[in-house]
Amino acid sequence: MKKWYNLFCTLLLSFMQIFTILAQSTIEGTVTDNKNEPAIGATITLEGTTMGSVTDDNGKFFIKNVPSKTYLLKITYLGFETILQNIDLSNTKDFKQDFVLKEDRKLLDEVVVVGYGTQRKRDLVGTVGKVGSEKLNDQVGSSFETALQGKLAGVQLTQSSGAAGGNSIIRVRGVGSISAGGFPLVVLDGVPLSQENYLQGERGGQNNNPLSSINPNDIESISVLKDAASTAIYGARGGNGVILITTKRAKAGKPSIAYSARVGISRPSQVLRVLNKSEWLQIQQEAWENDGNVGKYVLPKNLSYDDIKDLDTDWINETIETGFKHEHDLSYRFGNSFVKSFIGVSYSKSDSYLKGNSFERVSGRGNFDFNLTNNLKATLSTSLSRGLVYRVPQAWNGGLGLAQSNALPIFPIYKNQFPQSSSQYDSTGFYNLYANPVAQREYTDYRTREWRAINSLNISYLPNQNWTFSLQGNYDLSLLGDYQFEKKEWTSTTNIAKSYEGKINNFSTFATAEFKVPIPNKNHDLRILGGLEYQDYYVKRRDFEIDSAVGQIYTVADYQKQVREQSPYRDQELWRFASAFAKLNYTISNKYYAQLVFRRDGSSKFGKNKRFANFPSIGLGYILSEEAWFSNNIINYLKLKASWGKSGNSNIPYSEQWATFDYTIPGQVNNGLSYNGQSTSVQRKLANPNLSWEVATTTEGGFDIGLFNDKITASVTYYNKTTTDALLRIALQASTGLEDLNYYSNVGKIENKGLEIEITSNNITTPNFSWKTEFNIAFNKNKVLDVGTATPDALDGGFGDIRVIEGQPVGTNFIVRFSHVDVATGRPVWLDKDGNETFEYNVARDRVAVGNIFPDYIGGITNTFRWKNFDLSALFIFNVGGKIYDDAAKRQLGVITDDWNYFPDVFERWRQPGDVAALPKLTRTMINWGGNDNPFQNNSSLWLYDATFARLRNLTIGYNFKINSPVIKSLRAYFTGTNLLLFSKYRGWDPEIARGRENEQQRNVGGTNITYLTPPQEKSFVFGVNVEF
Amino acid sequence: MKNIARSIIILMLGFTACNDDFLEYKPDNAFTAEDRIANKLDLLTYMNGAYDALSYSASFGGQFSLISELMADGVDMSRSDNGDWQAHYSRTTDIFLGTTRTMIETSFKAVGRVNNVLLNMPRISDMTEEEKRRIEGECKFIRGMVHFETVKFFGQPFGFTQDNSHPGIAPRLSFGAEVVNRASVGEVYQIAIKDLKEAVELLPESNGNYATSWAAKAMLAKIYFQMNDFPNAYLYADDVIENGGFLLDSDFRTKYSSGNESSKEIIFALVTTNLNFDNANGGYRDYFRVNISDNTVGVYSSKDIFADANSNNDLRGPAWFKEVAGAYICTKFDIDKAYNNPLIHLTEIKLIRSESAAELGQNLDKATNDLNQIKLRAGLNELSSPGAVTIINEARRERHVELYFENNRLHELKREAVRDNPNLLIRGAIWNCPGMVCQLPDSELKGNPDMQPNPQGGCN
Repeated sequence: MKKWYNLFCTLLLSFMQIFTILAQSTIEGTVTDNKNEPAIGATITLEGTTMGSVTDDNGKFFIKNVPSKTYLLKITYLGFETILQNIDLSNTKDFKQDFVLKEDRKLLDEVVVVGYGTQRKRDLVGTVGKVGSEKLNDQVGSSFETALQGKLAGVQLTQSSGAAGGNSIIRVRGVGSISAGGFPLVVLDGVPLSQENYLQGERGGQNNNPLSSINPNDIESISVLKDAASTAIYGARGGNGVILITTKRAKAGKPSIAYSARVGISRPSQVLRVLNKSEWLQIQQEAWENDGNVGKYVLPKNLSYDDIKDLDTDWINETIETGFKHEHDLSYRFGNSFVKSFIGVSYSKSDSYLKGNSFERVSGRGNFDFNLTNNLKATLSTSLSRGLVYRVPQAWNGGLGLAQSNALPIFPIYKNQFPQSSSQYDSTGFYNLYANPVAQREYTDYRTREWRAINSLNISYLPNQNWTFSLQGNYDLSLLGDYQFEKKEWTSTTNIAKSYEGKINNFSTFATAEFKVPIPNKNHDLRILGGLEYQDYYVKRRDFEIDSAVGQIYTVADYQKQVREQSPYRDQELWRFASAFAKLNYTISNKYYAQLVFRRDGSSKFGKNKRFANFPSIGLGYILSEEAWFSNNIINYLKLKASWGKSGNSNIPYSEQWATFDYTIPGQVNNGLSYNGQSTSVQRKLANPNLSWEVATTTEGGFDIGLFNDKITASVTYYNKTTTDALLRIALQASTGLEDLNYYSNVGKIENKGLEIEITSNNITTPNFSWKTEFNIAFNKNKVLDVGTATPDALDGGFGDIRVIEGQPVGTNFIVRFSHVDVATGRPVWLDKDGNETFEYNVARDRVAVGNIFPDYIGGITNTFRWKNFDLSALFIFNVGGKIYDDAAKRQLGVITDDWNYFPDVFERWRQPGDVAALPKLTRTMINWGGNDNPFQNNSSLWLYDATFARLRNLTIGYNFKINSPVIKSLRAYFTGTNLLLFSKYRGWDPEIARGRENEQQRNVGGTNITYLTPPQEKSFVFGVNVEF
Repeated sequence: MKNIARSIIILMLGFTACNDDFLEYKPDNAFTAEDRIANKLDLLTYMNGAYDALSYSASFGGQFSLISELMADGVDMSRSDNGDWQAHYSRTTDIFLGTTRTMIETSFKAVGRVNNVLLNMPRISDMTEEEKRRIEGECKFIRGMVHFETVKFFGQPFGFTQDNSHPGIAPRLSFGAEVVNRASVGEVYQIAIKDLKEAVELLPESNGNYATSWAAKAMLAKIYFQMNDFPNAYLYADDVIENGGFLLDSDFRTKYSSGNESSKEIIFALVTTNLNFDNANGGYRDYFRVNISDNTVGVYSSKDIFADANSNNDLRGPAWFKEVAGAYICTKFDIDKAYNNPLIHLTEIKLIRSESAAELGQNLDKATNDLNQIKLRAGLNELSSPGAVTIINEARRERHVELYFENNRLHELKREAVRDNPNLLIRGAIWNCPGMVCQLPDSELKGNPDMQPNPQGGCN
């Protein structure tokens, strides 16, 4: 029957064709997705013509007045496979067909976001890692970047600590910079973000996190550009990698609402203990007697043994708790042929395990895509968020740090814990003459607040098939304030309020033109992208410190009430950037790929003669498996890649090329700049007009392979990245008399070379059960090739004696070597710089490079199981090699003093001749350790530990409910545990350490693996529900 | 279409080639020296900054005095838990001390600033030659004085080796980033003497609150005395005393009290105006906070100095010290109020003349008279016709009390050891053990890979 029908139709059409040879046709149809929902806004084009259309709200499209001939119809829709179909209108009046889109599942056809555009993963010549939104579901209240940990080869992420609102250190392929910032560039929807990590300094032992106010739930995907072929388009700022964030946008279809909620708890990854009172007194008594004193150890602070008889404070317990966290995220998407909108709001509040510490984030986002006309599109992305951290003092500053250091078990929390006979103390309130983290917490209120708006507007004009013009304007504004209020009970004077506010204005704009060169031979594809970019960036700040305050200077009303003189904002940082770039992609037969990138950057940070620099790159790709001769039962896909290119770094303070002066206008005497009633002026530093770009040149090669029809895919890359003209903060001798004893100069050379392997294996794939393993491992070898004449101490990484030394990795432990405890005397035996044993501890003479902070290799392994509606995924991360320097161990296990507590390991000390002990004889003076009489001057390899660890970073068990409801589209419930297991030989709190630092150099050199009472990572248990309507 | 492509290419080329003035984003405080030190007023303002640097508490404003007592015998450290001070006290300083860093950094700020003045002054057109001579003299006075005062801390004393070839400090005679190695102690002394002799020639006899030729001569007297070069010490001290017009205050407390502008005794003082916390004696006030209930008590005085100052009914004992609960607190510096810091004064110059005369065996009458004026003022008995040895001993004793906490004691004991007491122990340690010299701080060493640190230890 059907056959007859077809024959009839054919005849009919043939008949009609006679009358329509010179007429024009209409093409129409409907496009639906795999769920039978209309695909709204899909693009329909007739290849080689300027004709095309976009589907409407019902997924329908019309192209009218089409000359009757043959065409290649192309339907493109984000997230779906492109449909290509030949249609022949020469015999028909009109063409009508419905199309069903197939979801784009194939990994290698995955579209990834790259600089100023997107590319199919298969077309890449560089190395780009991608993490999709489904994998960003990590800790509650954390910043998005924490989810990158262990997921991409060569991307090392270290969260500072378990403190809420903390900052992370991200390293892409090691550390390629020394004094200039080594953080990758972060670009959100085309907006290069500001990342002012040091605007508020190292407050309370940590730096604020400028990325934390971005709502992770708004993120669709994150791309990490690692190689020069990919990063060169960001030229000047791509040297340490680029992180591209794409936020969620509406998909077409019926309006949908998604709601997710998560609740959970937070604990330290492990809890250590310090000595209790009797242990502490035992240690003190022993040291007291060892030093030749007689009688009972004299208690500090004029305390009598009677005073402390009822005291035995467990300060650690007083500073930690089980933190509660919850998060709610609501988004609404709708779309029609004119506009597609994504609107999301989110709230999260997370208390860490540190008492009094929490992070709260409120955020809203609106992403709108307009089809203004057939060839004019506009995209508006806007977000506003507020991050609020209730800081607690930690590390060196108080809290848990104080609980394991100066807060002694013989000290009381409350005044009434002293016997009534001690009349000098009244009986109410906290006792705060001695170290008391509880009093500090209760009498102080420290907050860091960031308001952040990230906005961009993009207008694209597509006059025809070959051209795309795009213009984007970005405004990224951050108001970052640190607010402190200390009650008079704490300050011992009056209530003191302090407010430090910074305003970061980051304006940027770029214009691009993309041209697809029409080549008659369809096997050739040539695209050229050209663009211009401009960025204007300034940071202003104002500080207030007020005595006799009535409360925080936190709101506008507080200002009006309390701030007597209006201190204007002053410039902190201001720079401009101007760039031009071009990219050429040439593909032959989807088999041979070539990409050329050229970028020219100019920055106001550099002197006139050295201001501009060029950053070229070339990348080549060859898909062997496309060759006709390539036929292999095992390998279904094989691509070879190679690239070379340069990118740069200019992340140094803005005024380094100039000589600067501190001065008062003659006649005005202020700022302390005066003498004899007259004003003064001084030159702060010398000019360096030759200051210029730091350049990273990367050469790499690798291959992507697919086995057993992509059941196993792998990617292997070897790279060599050499930084030349590295910006170093050169030290001047103090006797030069300059105010600023450092200046920046391009003298360094650093090499990072390594191997990255990523393997994904779909071990089992059946309808009811699947098991997938994703594994990545990265080996990186870092070496400083040249630092000019800089001495080790000239390029330091802050406290912990971490240094930059030629021939060694960037963060090298430069310390005196501990040999052993002398069996006869119990004194520590050191090694001098030539390796001879000595009792003398001499840092000027005997420090040597004994280790470094960098792991030999890092990686992660994720196993994902699905059984019916259940899923389970477990991410283990591992970090092998490298050292941890415990900068507090010299006090917690070292010389015995009145004012510190000790770890129980202190009992491993030498006691009598013949003892083979781990720690020396207890003594109250460093002189008995051979050094000077300062217990802090005791850095040595005795406190250096193996940094190797592995941990169960993330464990998620979920259930997707089968819903047959017209209202609810999907429902998922899950449990996520973070840092549930740890495997490590390190004796401290946690081997994953990123300490707060004062500047970029300290962070590059000693940002990780140097601990000083740093709180451990968080262990969290979270239950979540996602529902979509 | 070709036009669009062409215009983009032109735009890109034009953009990169065009004037890049829009990338000139200059901070408010960025200047060339030509801009910032353009005329006489600018230069005098800059010069004023050099004096300001002298007044910082980390060097002449107090810390030099503190360290010289800590390393000698003037302080009781059992009551202090300051780790840096402890290192000085135990003569175990190393390269990571905050105290030694600030000592070098702040004192050499003054040198850097005067060197910058000397570098830029030839350009200045609205100054007379006389004004230029005066400023040059002030620069050399400051430069010479700083070199002398710092080399005493960071090198073994003059006379430690026969030819004084033992290492001193890195001398700074020009402005800039130049890497400089340590000169010998002998060379540093010659540099200081040369500068100060030139200052004597260049400076006027009176110069407001700034350095005068008398100040330069008094400094020369101090330097020669430290070198045990008694003829020259006597020569300069005598000139200052006889011709300078300075008079001993009738009250030994006057020059350490607020209102000491009226003192006739002060030869050179660092000025305290109290405007905007502009104090030249901040260090003294910080280190001698006498409020014992305060948790941040500075330093306590040693029993030695307390006993010496109270011997023989010396009025300076009760005036300058008090005993609180077994601790000795120095009240010499009128701590509640600000006053000018009397860096060079007649009492010291008289003690120099007195001892030098006795050492030379000449002018013993002048020597006796100088000593007796100081003794009488302190309520002590006069010496009558003392011999040279007595004068020397009495002068040294007076120095101990009178110049307590005036950056004297450590250097004085070392001078005496070199002069006549090679086995002198300073609080239990031989005067020339390595640790008796401050280790150079990392901030001085790290900018110069060839610079050698001092040997350490050996004093315990």
